[in-house]
Amino acid sequence: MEDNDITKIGVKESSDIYAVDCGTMFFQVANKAGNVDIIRNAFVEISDIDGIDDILDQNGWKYVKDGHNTYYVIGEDSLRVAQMFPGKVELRRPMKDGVLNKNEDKKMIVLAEIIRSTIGDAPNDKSIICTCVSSESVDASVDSTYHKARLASMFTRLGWKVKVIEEGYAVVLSECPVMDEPDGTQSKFSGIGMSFGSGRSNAVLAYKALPIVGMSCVHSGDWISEQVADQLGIPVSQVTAIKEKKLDFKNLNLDDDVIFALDAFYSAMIKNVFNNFAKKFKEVKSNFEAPIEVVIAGGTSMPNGFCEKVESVIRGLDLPFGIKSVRHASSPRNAVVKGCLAHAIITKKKIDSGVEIKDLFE
Amino acid sequence: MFLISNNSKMSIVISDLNLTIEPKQALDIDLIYDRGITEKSSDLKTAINSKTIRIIQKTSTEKVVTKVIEKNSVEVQSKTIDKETLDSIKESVRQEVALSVNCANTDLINQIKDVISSLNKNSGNVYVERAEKTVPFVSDGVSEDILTKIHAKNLNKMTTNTESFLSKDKSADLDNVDDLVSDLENFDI
Repeated sequence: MEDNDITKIGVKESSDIYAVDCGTMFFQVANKAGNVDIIRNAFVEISDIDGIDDILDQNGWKYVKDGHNTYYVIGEDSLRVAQMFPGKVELRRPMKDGVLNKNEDKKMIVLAEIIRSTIGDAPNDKSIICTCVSSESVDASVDSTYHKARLASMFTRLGWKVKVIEEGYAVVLSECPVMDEPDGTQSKFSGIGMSFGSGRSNAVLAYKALPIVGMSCVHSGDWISEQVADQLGIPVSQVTAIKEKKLDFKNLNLDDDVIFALDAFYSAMIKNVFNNFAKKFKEVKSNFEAPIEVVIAGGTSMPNGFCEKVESVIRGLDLPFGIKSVRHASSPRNAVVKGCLAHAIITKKKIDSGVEIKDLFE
Repeated sequence: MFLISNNSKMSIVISDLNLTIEPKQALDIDLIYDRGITEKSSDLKTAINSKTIRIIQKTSTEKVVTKVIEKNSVEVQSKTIDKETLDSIKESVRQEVALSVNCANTDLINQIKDVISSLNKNSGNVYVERAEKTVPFVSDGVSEDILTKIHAKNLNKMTTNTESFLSKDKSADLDNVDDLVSDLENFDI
């Protein structure tokens, strides 16, 4: 249930519980009533265009203005500005590969202001935010410790207590995979939660809501687009558009070069993620006799037939665990923020029931 | 099934079972040892009582399979150890602590002390293993908590005199959150 009207953030009812999914492509924030606000995680910087104040105001565009009279146009509006001033402004992203973009020096001010505008100051000293980060990287492509600390700082400075969970674990909490035990009973929140985002792929195995093992890797949506663009010598934006609008795994037109290449690199991504996860699974010597349910979320999983594609690819892999089924999250784009919200509400209930805050936040 | 998990952020060595359990690792120890052996393990009992090891599921002992797992460990027969070798091993462990661990990390130091004391106590096999990925410390020895405070202070300066005029691009509603939370309340998350 989405709408496109622009409503000022901050007028909604104040909440002392929020969930935040700061993704590479979209920033999502959910309040305890389950209302989600979504902002495209992109911006353009403008500092030397005459009359920019008037242009921004007349168009009703979203922006941040810093103390040096530099303007940052945020979200979908940044795409419009980039089209309006070609060559003068460049579309930039605060996040890359699932973490803060190390090559972007304005990421902190942009994200901090998005967070301040959406959530604001904590209303009391027991106010809870639950957010997520990628699991340990198997390709050593990111430093998640610095990312986690920097992300947390954007909330703690506003007085919020911050709970950080792994992205794949949030999918498990949101979608409740079930394991059929050998004795005939069923264990809820037991299975693999996967999130295929723009920047990273994440996977976490949980058993009875306890995270057992997780991993992340850079093979995901952006990687696919870049690889296809590189192989065919066409712009990434063109590949992305075809990926979002034309790719249908149940009806593949393999005469189309881009579709053919997308299908091949989707296969490579799925193989890579499952093989890496299998390696981590073996490392921790976990043992599961029962086959495991896999639940999939994330924007990169949106093409029609993606779960069937996953099933067909993993059929050819030698995995150290059985797969019971592969299914899509009920709302693949919002599953992560929903899992974070459930965790935040449970944490708040524990605090309200008298559990010491220091026991819940390390 | 006797499924346990390491609840801490450090590797836990169960000396008398010659078993190391990594952080967040879940392990069905019925697949490794007979139940009779694990029931007698005083180190396992201590770890469970101290809540560093959590029992996820423990069923009756019918049809328990016994397997032996491979271990990447240093195993030395105690008969062959003289005092000089023992002192050398202890010194290596102490140096490891000095090199890689922030002094404020008392949990890890206590764990290393346990390893050192187990060198003296074990009459059969002597088992030394380096704990990996122990605590959320970064390479320069600054904790996540301190890093967060540093970044927060920096952000406060950075956003002085900043004005924001922001609104959402899209919105959505999450379904069944209350039902989900009711379900999750039955679990210790």
